[in-house]
Parts: sequence; C-alpha cells; structure tokens
Amino acid sequence: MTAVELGRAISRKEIKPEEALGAVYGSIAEKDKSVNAYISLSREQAEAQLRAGGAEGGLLRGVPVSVKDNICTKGVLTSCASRILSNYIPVYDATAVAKVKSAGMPIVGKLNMDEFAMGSTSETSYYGSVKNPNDLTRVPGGSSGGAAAAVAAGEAICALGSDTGGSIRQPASYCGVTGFKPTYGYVSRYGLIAYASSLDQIGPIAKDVADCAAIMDVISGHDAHDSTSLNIEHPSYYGSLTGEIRGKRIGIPEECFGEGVDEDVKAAVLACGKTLEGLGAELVPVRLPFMKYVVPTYYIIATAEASSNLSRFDGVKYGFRAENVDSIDDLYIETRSQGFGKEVQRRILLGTFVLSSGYYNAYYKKALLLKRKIIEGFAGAFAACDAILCPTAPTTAPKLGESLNDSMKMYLSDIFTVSVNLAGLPGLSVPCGKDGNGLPVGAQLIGAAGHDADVLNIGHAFQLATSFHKRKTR
Amino acid sequence: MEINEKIVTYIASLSRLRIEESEIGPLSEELNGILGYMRTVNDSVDTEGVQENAADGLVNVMREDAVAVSFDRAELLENCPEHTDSTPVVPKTVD
Repeated sequence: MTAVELGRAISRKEIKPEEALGAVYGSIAEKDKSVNAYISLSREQAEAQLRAGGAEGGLLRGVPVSVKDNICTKGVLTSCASRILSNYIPVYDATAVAKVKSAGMPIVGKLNMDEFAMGSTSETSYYGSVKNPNDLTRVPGGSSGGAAAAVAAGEAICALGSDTGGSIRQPASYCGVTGFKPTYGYVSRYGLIAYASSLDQIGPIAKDVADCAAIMDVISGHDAHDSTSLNIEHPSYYGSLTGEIRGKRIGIPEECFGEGVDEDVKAAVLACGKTLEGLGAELVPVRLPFMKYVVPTYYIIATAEASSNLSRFDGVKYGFRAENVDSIDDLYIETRSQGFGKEVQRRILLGTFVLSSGYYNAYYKKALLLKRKIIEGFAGAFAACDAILCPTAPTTAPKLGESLNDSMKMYLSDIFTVSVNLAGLPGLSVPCGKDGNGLPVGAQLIGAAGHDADVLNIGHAFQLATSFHKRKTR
Repeated sequence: MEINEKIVTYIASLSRLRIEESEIGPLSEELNGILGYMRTVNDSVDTEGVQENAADGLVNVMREDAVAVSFDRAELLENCPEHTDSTPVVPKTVD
C-alpha cells in the first residue's frame, strides 16, 4: 500500500493506525538484518504519538514515516551515521519532523545513511553498509540509502531523506522507488544537520509521486527558524496532480545520453520520454554545456561548506569526546580524528584546502563563478522546455565495495544530480525500467526553480501510464 | 604537484585532524589527484564577465531583535560529555 492509500484506509476505519505501525515493525524484524536500513527504532514514541492522537483530517493521518538519521528527532538518537554523534539525543524536532507529527504521522525510526550525508553508496556509515533490497550484494545508493532501501523492501511506508548532491534521487533510482528534492528553500532546513547549507534540502522518498506530493504538502512552507526558507504560498502539491501533460515540452539533453551512460539506462530513460510523448508532451532537444564541470564545481563548494559546518563537532557540548587528552587542542584533534570516518575527514581536508589563503581564488571563488554559469545554463534550457528529462545516474547500482577505492570515480557518478542542487532546482527520480541484471533504472525530471508542482505532475502522469513503480523487490 | 606533504600537514592542523605519518604520503597523492582533476576542468572554462553574487531577486531576511527563550539549559547540558550545573567542562585552555 502507498502512503496515500493507507491514509485513506485509515480514515475509512478499514485499518487502525496501530495495526499499520505494527505491520511496519514486523517487516523490519523480518528484513532489516539483511538490509540494515535502520540505525534505531522509536517504537515507544511512535505508539505514544498514536495514543496522544490530535491530528484530524489530512491525507496521511496515521501513516507511519521513517526519518533519515541526519534529521533531528526530539528524544531519539540522531547520529548522522557517525561515531561523533553516536550518543546525541536532540532536544528538539526538526521543523519537517514537527510537521509530520502534527499531521498525525508516527515516526517509525531513524534511517541509515552515509556518514554526515557524504557519500553515494551508504557504505560510509559507522553502523555498517545498507544493502540494496533488489540485490543484497549491491549498494542502495546514497546518502539516503537507508530511506530508499526501507521503502523498496517494505520496511517503511514512506520516508524523509535529504539531498545535497543527489542523495534522495540517486538511491531512489538504484532501489526502484520515487524520490523528490524540492526547490531550495521550499522545505525548512531547521533540524537538518548541515552538510552544505547552500545545497541541502529535505525531501520525500516513497513508493510513488502521489505519496511524494502528499508528503510535500505536509513538510513544505516558510519557517522563521530557517532564514533560507522561502516566504511564499505553496500550492497543494497533491492537488496539482492532474495527470494532464498535453503540450508540455520535455527537454532531452544530449550531454546526458552519451559516453559513460549504460546502454540499458539510456534505453529505459528514452523510453520514458516516448511514454510522455504518447501522453501529449513534446520532446525537444536542449543543451546543457556545463555538464563537464558540474562535479568539480559541486565538490569544491560542498566540501568548503562542509569543512565549516563540521567544525562544530569538537567534543565540547555534545557527542563523542575522546578520552585521555591533556589540552583543549588535543580534545579537538582526538575527538575529531577518532569520531569522523575517512570519507568525512577527506572532505573536510579538501574543503579546508580550497578555502585556505593562496588557494581560495583558484578553487572556491572559481567554483562560485562556475555555479553562476550553471544557473544561467539551466535558465537557457528552460526557455525552450518545461522540464528536462535525463537519467538520474549513469549506471544502475554498483556492487558493495566497488566504489570505495576510487573517490573521483564515485564523485563522477553524481554527474546528473549535482547540477540540480547547485542551481537550487526541483528534481524528481521515478523508476522507469530495469537493466539486463534486473536492477532498477531511474529517470530524472528537473524543473525550473519553483516549478515543483509541474515536475511532480509530469512524473505522476508517467506513473499513471506505467507500472515500474509498482514492481515489488525480491 | 599542488598539494605536498607540508601542505597536508598544515591543512590537517587547520581542520583539527590528526593524520598518521604513514598516511600523509598516500593522502597527499589522493588529494592531488582529486584537486588536480578539478583544477584542470575548471581552469578550462572561461568565467570572464560572470557576476559572482547575483541574488536572483532574493534578499537576506533578519528576524526581529527580540529576546526569546530558546532551550532549557539543563536539557541541553544533558548531551554534554562533562558539565557543571550551568556550563560544559573542558580541559584547561590557558597555561
């Protein structure tokens, strides 16, 4: 059942919320030993939430939701899959969490991820790798791998993930589920433990676009606690799903269908385009000439911001503190060196370097100029189309362990998703087929800033005409 | 090479990270590889005339300068590894 279907069944009293919640925990008990999608479960709090009641009406009242472990949940361990926060219990709920709770959605537990959201495979977690439910020898993608895997495996009805360079969309693609990153500023970042503040967004991962849209209705909106959240009126995203896309122009960028993209991936995504055309949309060629420098631009800006954001983890006020240290400096150095994993340390060092005196202009300042070119490049493309269609990732899910030895290769696998964060645009990944090994392929729809409802509607139209999103994993 | 072992040691100290002696060499090579690639790609793109700080119609927002209670101090200190009733405790900071 999707979240919306379950919500409907609950409001018709066909299912009790307690039963739905119990079924999720049953599934977790059965499957999570092999998938490792969860870091912690919050059953007591979830049951207490349901007993307290309070939320009336709403599409998703009573529907359990699972939350990525970099999003603060009051009284529930929030670790960012890192040793350095392995004992951190937030004293507040993230705004997105407060909103789902007000909507009557109990929080099942906290989902595994790449440490501090830095990674594309969910293998850098202090709590062990997450596995892809479609093939347990493969990665689920990252960094919201736990979220995508849990939804794919039936261990979650729906989830909140976060996306800085593709971390919602790419795991959704690898796991065969649907994931949406909103326009930057549409969902409050208050309580999202920051990786790169100018790029991070919380968004839904669920079984279909309708669920994602319903969740967007709950979590979107201006928040006084987040000065980067936009003070605008949001439409009803679920209400905007007409399924009508006649006359919509879908841009097909040749840069995203060339060398380096698996043939099966190309075929499935181009077939998605044909389906949209069959529904009355028009396919138009567009150019995205900035593709060759999106990855370096992203990694320079993201690591620079991360080096600043992670300087707060010092063992003083919260989290892990190293023992047997003699001085304050030793406290910082030992806490951070023992508390952070290798990939996090690598990115902090990269970020510190590109911001340091003598290198700032050549690296960071240059990257900011390139970011502006990327924004302008997209604006140029959107003059000719309403949404861009491309693969979410160049390949399907790699095997566990394959990506860890070549950082640059892993970073390049983000090529189709990072540009969307740099430009602050909405991006949706929908399942659109499988490769020769039976692994899911994701198609990405990108919209102009603020066109979230449009993008969701195009994805919804695709899902009304196909059933890739309905296929169960083994 | 952009990054040598001296620079790695310097960045590590800025980042408050301890890098083992044996790791400095391999790390320096790895960071060079990543940064070298980035530099090559980015230098090949002309950014003449690009406006760095175009705001896209957005403006900074400040809240009212009004005092409000944020969190309960005792609750916050519960997360602190070592604390008094009112403050975190750390090793001495001044000799």
